Amino acid sequence: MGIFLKKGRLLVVGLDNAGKSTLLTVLLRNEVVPTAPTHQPVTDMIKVGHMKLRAVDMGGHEIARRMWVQYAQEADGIVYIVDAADRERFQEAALELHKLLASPTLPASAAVLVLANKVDLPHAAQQEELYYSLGLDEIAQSGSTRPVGLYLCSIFERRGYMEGFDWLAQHI
Amino acid sequence: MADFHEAEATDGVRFSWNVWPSSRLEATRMVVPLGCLYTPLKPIPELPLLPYEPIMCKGTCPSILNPFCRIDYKAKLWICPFCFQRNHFPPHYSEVNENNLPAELIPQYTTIEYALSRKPAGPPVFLWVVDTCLDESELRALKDSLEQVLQLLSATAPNALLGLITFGTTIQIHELGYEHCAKSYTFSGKKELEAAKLHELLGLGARGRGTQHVSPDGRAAYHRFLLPVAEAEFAISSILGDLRMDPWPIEPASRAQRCTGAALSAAVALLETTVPNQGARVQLFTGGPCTIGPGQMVGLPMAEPMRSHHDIEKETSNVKHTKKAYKHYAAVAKRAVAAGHVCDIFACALDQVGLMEMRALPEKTGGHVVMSESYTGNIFKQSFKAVFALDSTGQSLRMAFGASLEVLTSAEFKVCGAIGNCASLAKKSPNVAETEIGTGNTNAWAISGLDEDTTLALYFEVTNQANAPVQQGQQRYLQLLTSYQHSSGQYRLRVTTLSHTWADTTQLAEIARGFDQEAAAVLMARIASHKTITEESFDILRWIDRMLIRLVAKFADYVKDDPASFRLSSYFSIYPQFMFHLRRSQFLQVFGNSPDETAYNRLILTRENCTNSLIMIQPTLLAYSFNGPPVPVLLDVTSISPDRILLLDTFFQVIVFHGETISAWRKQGYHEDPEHQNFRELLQAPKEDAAAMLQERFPVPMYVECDQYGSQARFLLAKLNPSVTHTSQGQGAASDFLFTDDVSLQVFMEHLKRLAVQT
Repeated sequence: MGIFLKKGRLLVVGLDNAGKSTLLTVLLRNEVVPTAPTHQPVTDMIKVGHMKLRAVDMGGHEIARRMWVQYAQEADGIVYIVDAADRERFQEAALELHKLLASPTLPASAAVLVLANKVDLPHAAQQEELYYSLGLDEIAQSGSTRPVGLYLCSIFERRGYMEGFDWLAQHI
Repeated sequence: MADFHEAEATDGVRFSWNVWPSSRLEATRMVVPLGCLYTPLKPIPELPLLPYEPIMCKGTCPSILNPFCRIDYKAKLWICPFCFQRNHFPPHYSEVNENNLPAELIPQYTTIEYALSRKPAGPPVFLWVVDTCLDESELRALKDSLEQVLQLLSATAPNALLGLITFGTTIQIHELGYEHCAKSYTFSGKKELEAAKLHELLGLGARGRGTQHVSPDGRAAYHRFLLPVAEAEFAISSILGDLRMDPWPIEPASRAQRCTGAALSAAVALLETTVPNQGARVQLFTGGPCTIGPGQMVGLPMAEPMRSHHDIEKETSNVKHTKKAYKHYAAVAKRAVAAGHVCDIFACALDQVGLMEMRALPEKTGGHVVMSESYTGNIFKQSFKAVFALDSTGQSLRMAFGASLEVLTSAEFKVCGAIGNCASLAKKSPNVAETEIGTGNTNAWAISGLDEDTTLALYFEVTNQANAPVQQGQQRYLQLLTSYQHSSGQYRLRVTTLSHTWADTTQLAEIARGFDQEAAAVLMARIASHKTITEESFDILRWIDRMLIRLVAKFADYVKDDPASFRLSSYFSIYPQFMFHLRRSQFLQVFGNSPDETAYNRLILTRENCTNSLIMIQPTLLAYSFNGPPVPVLLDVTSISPDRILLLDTFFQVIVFHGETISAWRKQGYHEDPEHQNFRELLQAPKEDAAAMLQERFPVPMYVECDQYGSQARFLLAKLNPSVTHTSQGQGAASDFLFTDDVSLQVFMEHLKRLAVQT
């Protein structure tokens, strides 16, 4: 079977304005359009490489984050998007990521793809800065077996995220 | 334009076309349907309220005496303009002559209202149906709001009747009139009880004797459950005080057991058996999906996802509850309509609650829907209070009940249907057209709940054949009869009678001058939104495009096959823009919205008047700067400027957007410096205007203040025309641009011109 389709459930989370809805729009319709902030979770089927995923786009504003853990319990994979150019919010982004990873509802097998978006912007952080700012070093040291991968991307320029999804495909 | 607004002010009506061609064939070539938006209870200054019965035509139509009737003062006769019946004036009209006209014959009173002498209906009834599967803080906030409205009502409507049902796994109907302790009847949430059975189980006697059943103290037995506010206050307060979260345990990885469907059915049953045809509202407050019993929209295990637009389109297994649930709520809505009752839905939750399945309740009964994230927020709190606002007299609640709208037409045209939050009365009448638009096959509709904003779209077709032309100077007539219960209980009848000239078929220019672009856009938007029930959105977008191309091809000036020669007169010039924004709007683009959000948006669109609907289709944008008073600016990315503040109104949201420089100054605290009073005032002005918008709108919009390049700026960016994008930014001196592959208005217009002039 060459054209093997992996099925899974994907949760797309991250702070508001990280680029969650924009990512899904690009994956689904191959088009970039400005989106208003998401409120209620929106579900769509996306195909990335050899994966067919039921992706849930969650709101990223504070009150909506309460629902992440609720939806996390059914996820095979998590895409956690971070705005790589918004240093002021790295700490907040790290905190929410660690809260999510610490949640008992998140299946131990669920892989987490951290996508650092907007690397096309002039002052965007690079791999190393993001790795430490988001506390991925702590996760690596904690002895957790959960696969966590960090990939840099620019959704507007349509680059970087596919490598991330290839990585995710190996862990779903 | 002025004329269109004048007709709206005096009669509450806006036509797409004000001058109609006189034959069926010509009328079908107008592309945009003949129709009007009618606001039956529009507040009209100096509207006469006549304290006597209307004079009705004795012919085949039930028309009411109006200024367009031909009158023979000598013979004391009037001729009905609809059926040409000659009617004698009743004896008490014997004094009528040219100089002594009753109000209904005075030419300027084309809209008039009668206070009917029927025994008034009882006071309004409110039955609160409260979901207890909310989390602690949500339930507390909701209880606070209910408590506040209770206080409000005890001052403004102490005679109104109030009842309380709480539900979770089971349904509790609270007996408020029981003095000794809190007492309630509990019913299973898993099955639907027949109204008669419920009536009996509550000890209200067998159905049939119904309301006649009295308790020992001599008042109707149902007062045990529905008490005047003044008396219910204490009981409800103490029940609310003791109200706790649903005690049934929630399994891990499971949703709460919530029987919304059965609870709503029980609420409607209680009202239909006790206070039929008396103004009453069932008011649902819910915070999650119905998971058990009738109306279930999703299963209990969290592993079972709620249906998405994708599931609905592809009919996946996640829609297995959808049709059945919709049918359940539609059946409940039908019973409510038959009893003249209204169902309101307040849905506050982070996730969907099944509004899409429940939509028939507000849609058929004219109920309110308010959707927001939390009971703690302003949107819910202020909107809920606004439901109980007083009308302009300050004496009565602003709401009205149990209305029916009947449409009478002169013989040359017929009525195709209505689109609005109403239900068909299935009234067969000779003036019902074969063509159906919206809810048709009737010339009368029930609107169980309405207020001063409730607006129906009515559609017509000319039936006159080309070989039987209308005579020179012949008029067409339309009479709109709205009978309703005022919140005081008084029965009223509002009569709007309109007369227009027919156009000479050859006079296209005359017809063009009568085109109301705003009303036309809203009438088209309602059809498009209505089509979404049965058609794919791709097909609807194609339909809008085709209609627009045909319209401008007919009315624009151009040389065939020469797009550069294309000119649109001012009567049509802004219409294509409305269609451009309608195509992009959340009414037709479901992407990025949940099915509940889409249902919500569409329910609000079909309720509002022309101006408000237009704001929803094409939001308004105001710019504030140091260069003078605020000015309206294009809904375009070029309107963004570092030294400006923009105020965006999308009806659902009001956004204050600070340009880069302004936000930098604000962050540096310049507005607190006494030397920069100008800046302080500039910052303040849009906030004050926004506050005024929030004050007068229902539901209360979401309010956001944001900065250029900030996260919340996306509320604005998503609405702007992308005239400058990341690919074109190098060419101009614009201050901002959009990352988008979307088509801009300019490109849209180029395509339109090209297609319109094509042979």
